Amino acid sequence: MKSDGAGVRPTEGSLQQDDVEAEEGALVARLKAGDERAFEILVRRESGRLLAAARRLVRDEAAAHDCVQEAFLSAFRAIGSFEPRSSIGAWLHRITINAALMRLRKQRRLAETPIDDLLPSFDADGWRRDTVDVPDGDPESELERRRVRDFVRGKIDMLPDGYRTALVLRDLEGWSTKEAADALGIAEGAMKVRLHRARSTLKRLIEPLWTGDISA
Amino acid sequence: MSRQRSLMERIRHWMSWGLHGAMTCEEFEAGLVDYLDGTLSPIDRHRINLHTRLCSHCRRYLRAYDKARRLAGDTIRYSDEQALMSVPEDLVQAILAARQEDSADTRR
Repeated sequence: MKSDGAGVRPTEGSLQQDDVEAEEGALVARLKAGDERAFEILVRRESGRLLAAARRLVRDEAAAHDCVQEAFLSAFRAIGSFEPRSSIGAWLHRITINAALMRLRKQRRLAETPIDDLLPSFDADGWRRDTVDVPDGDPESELERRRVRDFVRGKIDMLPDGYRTALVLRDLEGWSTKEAADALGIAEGAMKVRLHRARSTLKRLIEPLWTGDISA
Repeated sequence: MSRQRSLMERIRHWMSWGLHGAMTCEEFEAGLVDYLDGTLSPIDRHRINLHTRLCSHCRRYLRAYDKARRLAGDTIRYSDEQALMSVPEDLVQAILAARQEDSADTRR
């Protein structure tokens, strides 16, 4: 809330923001005091969001549940050192992503795998060989939109883990190239290559949407 | 799939070599991530813009590439909304039970 300037009245939005911050601060204080009820409130409030984040990276539902559980336990053990520079939800989100990455790393599923057949090809002079026209506009009916989402979701899940992870961290989580490269243990240049390959491959996989051959 | 390019397009491509900063489709491809991140130098950005204007194949490619990114984002956001609507109670109970166990271990 702005406090500078005499006679400036706080807006309704800033009051609501203050309420949220006060509520969050009270919850953190209760968590630090070991209040079990506060822990349950946090679990019920954040589990859905964290499960969604884990599912983006580990496709197995049971593994996604394990990541969320590990994140809550890790967070609770470290709650004494939590400093509210960000929200507790954002803190838990980051811990969940790290738990999911750790799981993929342990299973050695983050290595780059060959997807050459799905990447763009060029002739000897450097001319592009493949292009598809994207029709204008988006589906109008909810049924059609759902069909598109189901199709795209299936294709995202088809990406090898190393590529899907690059796509998720950069394009969906909004991490910087450096943050994502550090998390995956690769150089920034390699991260850019992997991201580009992930995007190109996804584009190729969802092209049937635009060519009308959605059964592909 | 190989496409035959029109004579006009080939001429425009050959001419582009004489223009400042012209590039091949392959070079265009290599600069896309930085281009979309806005981290290219002004000269390299100009080269990509120029190639996009001259090459209809790369123009279509860029459009499809961008649309695929957008569709992926929309799809994941929708999945997130669905996840928020139904938090599995068995997950909540498992976390609370694990927490109890963890606390008991710490006290021992």
